[in-house]
Amino acid sequence: MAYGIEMPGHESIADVFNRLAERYDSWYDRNAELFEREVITIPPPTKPSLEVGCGSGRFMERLGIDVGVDLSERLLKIARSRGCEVLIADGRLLPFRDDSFSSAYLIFTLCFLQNPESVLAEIRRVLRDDGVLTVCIVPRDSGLGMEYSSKNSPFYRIARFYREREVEEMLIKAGFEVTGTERTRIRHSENDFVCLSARLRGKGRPR
Amino acid sequence: MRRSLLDILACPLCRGDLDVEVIEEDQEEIITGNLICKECGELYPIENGIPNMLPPELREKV
Repeated sequence: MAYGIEMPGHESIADVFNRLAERYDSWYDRNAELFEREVITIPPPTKPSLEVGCGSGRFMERLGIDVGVDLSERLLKIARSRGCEVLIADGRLLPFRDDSFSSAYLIFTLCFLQNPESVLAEIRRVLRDDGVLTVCIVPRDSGLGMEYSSKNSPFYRIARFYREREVEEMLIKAGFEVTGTERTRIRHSENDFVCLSARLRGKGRPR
Repeated sequence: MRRSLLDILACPLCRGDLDVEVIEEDQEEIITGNLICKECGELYPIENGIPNMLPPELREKV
């Protein structure tokens, strides 16, 4: 959620989420049915699990994800009030030892990353060899993606939506292989919400 | 943060192990304190139960 650092002359993405933390978080109450459809589409975590860009902890709480990081302190305070274990950290510099997690999640976060490649490289480092990364997106060419990108929302204005194929290519470049894809209709089309599961490609991965 | 988190935490800059300095702790977790890198000496504060693991130069920007 709140990732991707400074844009010269503009508010940083973390600033936007800090300023509008409560408004962002209340979306999930206002759209409870949509949130529910997303939750049931996401493959459940294997322990120990990490969410990068955990925001206010909505998905952590529902899915039972163990540890979350985000750049927005205000969103993390809300996550903590939900009982989530969270840290302020940059996805490009994760504060964890190598091979710490069995599963990792990027849920509606990729679109806010300024440098997704380096975040994927860090996730690869902290995942065990048999670990699974799940990336959940609203594709640019889905009904929901088109609705969101046409909205003049302070959040979507700073987001960059990808096509499913682009995310697959990004994952392969980062040393993952896509092992499964779940798609669901949230509002408009069968690919409104897509979860790609990926495993680390090859053993003895470079550090 | 719960103490058990220390088992997987590392310095984001040099990936060294961290020492913890507890200022306030309840039965479940550390509320206030510092995490200090054993390798490079960098200090990461814990406030309101949330560790700030950003490198110092990024802390002011976010």
